[in-house]
Amino acid sequence: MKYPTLGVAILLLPEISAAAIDPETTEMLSIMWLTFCAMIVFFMQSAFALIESGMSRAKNAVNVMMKNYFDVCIAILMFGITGYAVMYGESMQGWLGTDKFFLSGVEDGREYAFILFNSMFAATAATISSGAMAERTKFHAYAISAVFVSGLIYPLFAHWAWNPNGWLQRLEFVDFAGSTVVHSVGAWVALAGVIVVGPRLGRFDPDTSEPREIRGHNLMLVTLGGFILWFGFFAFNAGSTDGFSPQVGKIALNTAYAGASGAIGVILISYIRRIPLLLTSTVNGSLAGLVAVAAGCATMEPMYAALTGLISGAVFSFGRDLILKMRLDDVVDAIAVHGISGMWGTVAAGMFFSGDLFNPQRIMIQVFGLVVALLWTLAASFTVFSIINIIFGLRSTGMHEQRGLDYSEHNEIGYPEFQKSTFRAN
Amino acid sequence: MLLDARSYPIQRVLEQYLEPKNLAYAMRLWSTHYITQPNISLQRFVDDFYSRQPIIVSSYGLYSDLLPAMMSALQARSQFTGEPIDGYEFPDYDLGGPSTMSYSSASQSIQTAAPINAQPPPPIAKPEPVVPVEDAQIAATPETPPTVEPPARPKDEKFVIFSSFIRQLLNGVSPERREKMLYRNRIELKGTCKPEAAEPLYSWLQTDSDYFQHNAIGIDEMTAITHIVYMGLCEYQGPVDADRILMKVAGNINDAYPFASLDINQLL
Repeated sequence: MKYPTLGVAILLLPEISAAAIDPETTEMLSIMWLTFCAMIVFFMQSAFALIESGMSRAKNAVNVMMKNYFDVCIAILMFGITGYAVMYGESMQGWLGTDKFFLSGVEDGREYAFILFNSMFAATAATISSGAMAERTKFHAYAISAVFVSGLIYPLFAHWAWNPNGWLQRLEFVDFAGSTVVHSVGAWVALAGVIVVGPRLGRFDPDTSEPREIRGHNLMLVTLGGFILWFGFFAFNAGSTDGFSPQVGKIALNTAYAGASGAIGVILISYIRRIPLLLTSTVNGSLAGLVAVAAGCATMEPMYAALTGLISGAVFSFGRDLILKMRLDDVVDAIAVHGISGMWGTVAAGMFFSGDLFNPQRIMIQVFGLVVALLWTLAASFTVFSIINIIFGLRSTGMHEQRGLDYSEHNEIGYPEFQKSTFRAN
Repeated sequence: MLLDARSYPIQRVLEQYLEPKNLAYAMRLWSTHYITQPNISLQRFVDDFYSRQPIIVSSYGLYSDLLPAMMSALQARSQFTGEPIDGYEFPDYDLGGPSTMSYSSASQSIQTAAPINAQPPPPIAKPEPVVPVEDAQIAATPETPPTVEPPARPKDEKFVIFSSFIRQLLNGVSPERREKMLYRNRIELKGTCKPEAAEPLYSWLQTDSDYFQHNAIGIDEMTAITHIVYMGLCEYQGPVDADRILMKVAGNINDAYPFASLDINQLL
């Protein structure tokens, strides 16, 4: 009986809050809520690992898992060391946080929960690129890039958009749960990485430039990852209330609607375009909807959330093709899901702003914000990846790619019953 | 030459070397693809058969006898009927590869056999009915029986395996794309080994020959060459097919040479 009781208590949290109980209890419940949501958002990392690994070939499955596991470790620590300070430190003209490095001066219990929650966001932003660059990126080079993403690139833009004194925040840029701040930033990091590291061997035909499909090895992992990510998005969006709030119900409902309609959007557009109804695209479509609604989940009505999700499915489908036309090899379509759908979601948050629908000025601010995110992130991460590439080499050797990064980078094999006889025994 | 009459000696030879199941398969392969081909294709027929039909036999030397035996049978048949054997002379043809006959022994056996381009023996008036090959040999050339020397084992078994492996990998690409692939990767291919071996290696890759050997090529060079070929396969066949071909060919080689001195996994 213990767990159902806990579940009921969680469901009733907003009502308890609304009952105007004493501030100390409200504070405690808010800390609980934030911590609980942080834990669920942490669980999203497992979903990223499942999706990315499932969409990779069997010979790279361990490497992808390893990157996902390790970038969380890096991101959590780096966010505490520099990220939180850059993001929520005392703002210097709205551009940069200047104190709280190594969490100095943090004593408040709620702030600790807040830091934990935002650490998980930093980990999310950092992990997006791992899937896009999978199967040909050196592990240690990727790990170094995660240091910069979680310690500087993500927190700096988050400062502009989310710090109460951030310059984009002052322009009333709306991004409630991070369509742009988290997802697009992660996707633009991935874009820069994909450009620097190049496509996998044979991804594009050398004569025709036509892309070749490289199917993932386990779509069950992908589907399970999709479900877990969806579950995680409830906490991702609802936890962004930063505490106890009656908004939670609407945010969660909007999240559910957008996820569902995103998948339906992909199915519909696939019918219209006469392309196969792929499971991977369906899962990615729902994720695109979830990403898109993050920006406006607290400020748009549920039917608009559904519309945002529906359109994001189509946006994802065309976005994926655009990426392929540019001869960019994104293993998990992370750029289309998190980047392009995130852009659409940010614009939708301005278009469907409750009580101020289709306000051109608001929409322009949204567009301005997402362009700033694109420029900053792309420039910064391109620089980081290029430097890493020069110093350490970002791309694995062709021989490692041939043997699979599981064996060549980690000396571990995900599926030994299939692969045991395929390597040099040294 | 009648096709049936040409197939008959082939079948008789194969019967001595193969299990009934494999024999049936070999004859199907022969009648489907090679029956109309000139005799110069016999080696390809043998190699094709090996690569398609994994046969677990501990000694590949058994197969090395097959090609010369078929040649002898056809030659005897030709002498019996008085019809020339097209393509038999192939002076530059390399008889190495999975069939382990060396170039020198092949040439020698050809030279010691009846001269094809010389004056043919007087035709026998009534060649029918067809007599068994062994009888035909005795009847047709009692004074100069075709002497096929026992095939010499390869100098280095590693190269037999390596050559066969690379050749089968290259066969995974259509000839036109293979040519492009080799040209595109020529610098990398030549860069895998010492300069004295680079040009012979590249020349060999451009041919259909199944055997290549060079003392300057060791295991590391073989591994590097395999990798370049794999990268070419990735480019021209796609990475999924490249992995499939690599694993399949490696499996074939492992089956064909189970106790060989070169473990093919060392090259992967």
